[in-house]
Amino acid sequence: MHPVGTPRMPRPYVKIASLLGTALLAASMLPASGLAADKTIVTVAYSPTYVFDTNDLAAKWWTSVKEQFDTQYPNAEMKLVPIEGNYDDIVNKLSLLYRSPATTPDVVQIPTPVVAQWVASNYLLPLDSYVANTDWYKDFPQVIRDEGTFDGKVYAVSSGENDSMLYYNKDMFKKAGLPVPWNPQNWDDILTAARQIHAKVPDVVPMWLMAGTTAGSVGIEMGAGNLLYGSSDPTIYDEATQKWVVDSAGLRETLGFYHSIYSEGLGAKLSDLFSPTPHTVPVTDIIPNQKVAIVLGSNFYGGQWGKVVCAPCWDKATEVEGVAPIPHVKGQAPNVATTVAGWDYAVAAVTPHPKEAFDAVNVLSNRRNSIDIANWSGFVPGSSKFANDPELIDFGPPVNELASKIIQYGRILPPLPDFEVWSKGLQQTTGTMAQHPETSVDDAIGILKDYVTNQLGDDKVETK
Amino acid sequence: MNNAVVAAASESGKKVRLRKRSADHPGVDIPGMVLFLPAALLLLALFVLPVGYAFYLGFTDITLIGPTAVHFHFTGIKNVLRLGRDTLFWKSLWLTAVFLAGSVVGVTVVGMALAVLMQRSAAWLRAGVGAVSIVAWMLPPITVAVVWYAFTTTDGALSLVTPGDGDSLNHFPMLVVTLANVWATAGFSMLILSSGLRAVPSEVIEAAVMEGAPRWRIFTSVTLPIMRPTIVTNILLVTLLSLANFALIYIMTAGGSDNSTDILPVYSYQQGFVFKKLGYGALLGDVVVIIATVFAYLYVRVARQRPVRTRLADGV
Amino acid sequence: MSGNGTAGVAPKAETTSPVQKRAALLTNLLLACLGLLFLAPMLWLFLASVDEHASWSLSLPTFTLDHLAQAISGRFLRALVNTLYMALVATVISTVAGTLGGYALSRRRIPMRDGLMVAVLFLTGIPIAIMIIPVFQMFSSLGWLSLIPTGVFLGVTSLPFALWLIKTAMDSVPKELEEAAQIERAGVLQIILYVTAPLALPGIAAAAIFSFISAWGAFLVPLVLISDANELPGPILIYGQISASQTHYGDIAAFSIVYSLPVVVLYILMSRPFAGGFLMSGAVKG
Repeated sequence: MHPVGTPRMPRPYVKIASLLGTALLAASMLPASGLAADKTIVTVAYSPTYVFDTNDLAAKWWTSVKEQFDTQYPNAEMKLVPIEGNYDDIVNKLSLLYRSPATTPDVVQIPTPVVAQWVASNYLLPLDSYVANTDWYKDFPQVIRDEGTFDGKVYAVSSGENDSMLYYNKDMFKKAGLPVPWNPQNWDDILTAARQIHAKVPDVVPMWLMAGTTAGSVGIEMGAGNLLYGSSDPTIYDEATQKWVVDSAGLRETLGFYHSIYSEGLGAKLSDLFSPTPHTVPVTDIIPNQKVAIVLGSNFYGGQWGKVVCAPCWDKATEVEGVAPIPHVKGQAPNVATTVAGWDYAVAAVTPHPKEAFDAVNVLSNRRNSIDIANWSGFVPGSSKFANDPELIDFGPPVNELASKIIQYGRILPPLPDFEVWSKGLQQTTGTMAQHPETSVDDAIGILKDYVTNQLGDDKVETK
Repeated sequence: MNNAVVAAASESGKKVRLRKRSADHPGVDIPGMVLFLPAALLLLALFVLPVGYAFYLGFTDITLIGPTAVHFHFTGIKNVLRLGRDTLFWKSLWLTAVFLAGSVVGVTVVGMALAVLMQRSAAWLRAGVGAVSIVAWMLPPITVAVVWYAFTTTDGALSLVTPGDGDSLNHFPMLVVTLANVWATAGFSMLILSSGLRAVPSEVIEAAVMEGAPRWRIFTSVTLPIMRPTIVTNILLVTLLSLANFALIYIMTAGGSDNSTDILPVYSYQQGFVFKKLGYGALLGDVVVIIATVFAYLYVRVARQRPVRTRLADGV
Repeated sequence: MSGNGTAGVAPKAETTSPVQKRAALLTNLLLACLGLLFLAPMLWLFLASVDEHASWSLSLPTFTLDHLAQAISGRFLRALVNTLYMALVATVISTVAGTLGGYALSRRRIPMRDGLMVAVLFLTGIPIAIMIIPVFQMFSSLGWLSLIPTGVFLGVTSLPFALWLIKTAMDSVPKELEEAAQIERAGVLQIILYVTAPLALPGIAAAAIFSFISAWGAFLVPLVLISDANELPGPILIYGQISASQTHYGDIAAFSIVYSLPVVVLYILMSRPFAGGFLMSGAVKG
């Protein structure tokens, strides 16, 4: 191999050393970021990739917010802390950061379903005295206030909400001889339309209905949860008995709908349903590429095809794509079913400067920022004043109008840690039904029951 | 200096020399300890202590968030009892075994095939294939996951040659993630096995050739037995690396579909960081640590045995 | 050639019979097929990186260089430099500690050496996920949630394997040379630096490469330990592109390629000292 000789630096050493040297030199030229010492630093944790429709819009919005805050409050400075990854990664990283006061960001944007757990950990500051002095909080509808209110105290305020609706392709509906505009009055109307599409319009997916585990609880929020909330018994967690419902008339109706869709070949293909980001498949691919007739989906698709977001651009969006509320199973009033979940701003309990922290929330929640984040992320703004602003409504017609109108009928998902377990059980159940269309409703209920019982124990589940 | 000769010398038992020498100096070897100190301290502070603490967390009710996030308690064997009842754990244990067995066999066979073929192929081909297989090993796990996702999904390259809707990933998830792991690890195995192959003394092989033994016979009866320690080491390392390879499956399937790729590291992550039950998740991780220990122990048992003498070589 | 590629049947026999020719052809053919199998999954990477309308499917690209240009600018370039920095810290930590420790294990009297070697080895198989909480706790209380400490930690996770490789390599260095140096009154460090390490260089290089690659691809650890936008390493950025509301397939592919180049360069630079470095056999033989 190598000649044994006098002790000198062998050539490979020189190579390695020069390689190391060059790299270290390059690395040491990184500019250090400095912050003025006399200013109050307000740290704000946010997601640079997950919340907004595009990463560029996220960067644009947060840069602008920081500029506004720094100008408006010359004695303070906002420091942005990006939290990378998807929904779970964001929640996890924030949970870790909150374990120690030294790493806790002053202000945070968190998903509404986890706020309760933050409150239970005593991580958040009650904001009642602060929100009382704002001009935007008084216009929050009750359902949105409830998301951030625990034991009568306000711990979090909405940055924007998502609800769900039915999207339908008018061209395909006309081709199949279905009425346009379409206003399904019950679930049978939806199934009838899907079957007719299947028969009359070949080569398109009759209906997109989220199934499987890859989207996590977002898959329930933008899928099965909406059907359950339109069923005859929408209970997920029984407050009275403190047990999780694994078998009920509502669940059987919901899974019956899944059974019809997937056993009759009315659903989308597995590689789309089980893709790493299934919740974006309709908006980025199958709707604008006109590969699907009916979509049970989220309001966030609304502004995404317009000129500003353009992800992807689709000129004919308003011409081709119609929307309708999701009806109840048998058309019970008010005949609008939807989940509601969003992202809240909250202030850390341990922040050394609560006033400045809330000043930041105030800037984040002003009209301009509320409408921009709503338009660029596909939200319904928390405040009903902004939710009906023409700037918002015109950004993604007719989706945004309907989304703002139906949010009052929305129901939140149980804000408990074990919801993740129940949710995973239902995701598995729907995933199995999509992959194995022969799965009966009884079998499906069995899968949900087994999963949740195995994780939580017999004493934590019930049949209604 | 010839590497092969040195290795051959140590194979045939002359290595005792080293042990004898160290036994010549009874008492504490201060300079030796000092040299070992940096490694020991680093491992202790950043590896052994965290693992020890994680082991302890496996017996507590710590959660990622909620009242027991910071104020958690020791709960004795409560988590262990739950482990016994957890049907998903047992399924996960089985899936882990399948994944490891598939990976070890696949990686070793492909790695050996590469090593043997490369030894006797045209130089340009050796350089090319060597580079490609090593680059596959060097790719970050996240890239491997992305590449294999695109390769095996509907309309991916593999769908061009497979029947049906071409969605291999969802129809055969365990097979696909195992193949992805084989693809990403075989280059590493090839390096180890090539090093071992180089160390097989050429005299022994030449002697066998002189006897007119067929080539495959020489390989199975001479080369393989001599390489046994290398192969055993290779198997152990592939096992350990596959066991620690969490990112690949997490990104490709996140344990799905239908829990069919939910190997222990993924299930542990699921409990700890999706269900936020850190204590139980840590206990599942402890099981992985125990499995790793068992493999390491088995390895030492096998490696300590005297090298098998080859029948052909004995005959010469 | 250093005369060690002779484990199989000696290929350079004086007479090349038709049988041997056919065998050689078969060997080359088999290897080429294997090579193609390794190449096939990468096909998407190359096509998507230059495709304006890239998606998960394999399709003929609408040619564009935008993705590649994007991949070497702005935060992508910064991520590349960050990873390089982090991986080099990890490599230096594990190689230096591994060389000193490997020498001690190979040459000096360390109590319970064999037990230690096994303990060290089994650390290689520990899932990083279970260490997240303890390590995060430790690093956050010490204020270490940044790039360099993360590099140090990643270096330590590769250290067990580095110790193994380097000890094995040093075991096969003849002791006589060191004894000669000792007579010349060379110190222990000098002996390591000028006698043992150069001769064990394949093993040391292999250890360095292994550490570099592990740190280079690390995903979970930096995701948890690094919060500063300016310090994010590459895999996190790729991951962010996947989980984003709009998946940037072309950017992912382009960045994956750009991101792989340094390791390819590393391999080319070090393939010579590297050869035979992964000789692992007999490391705990008693």
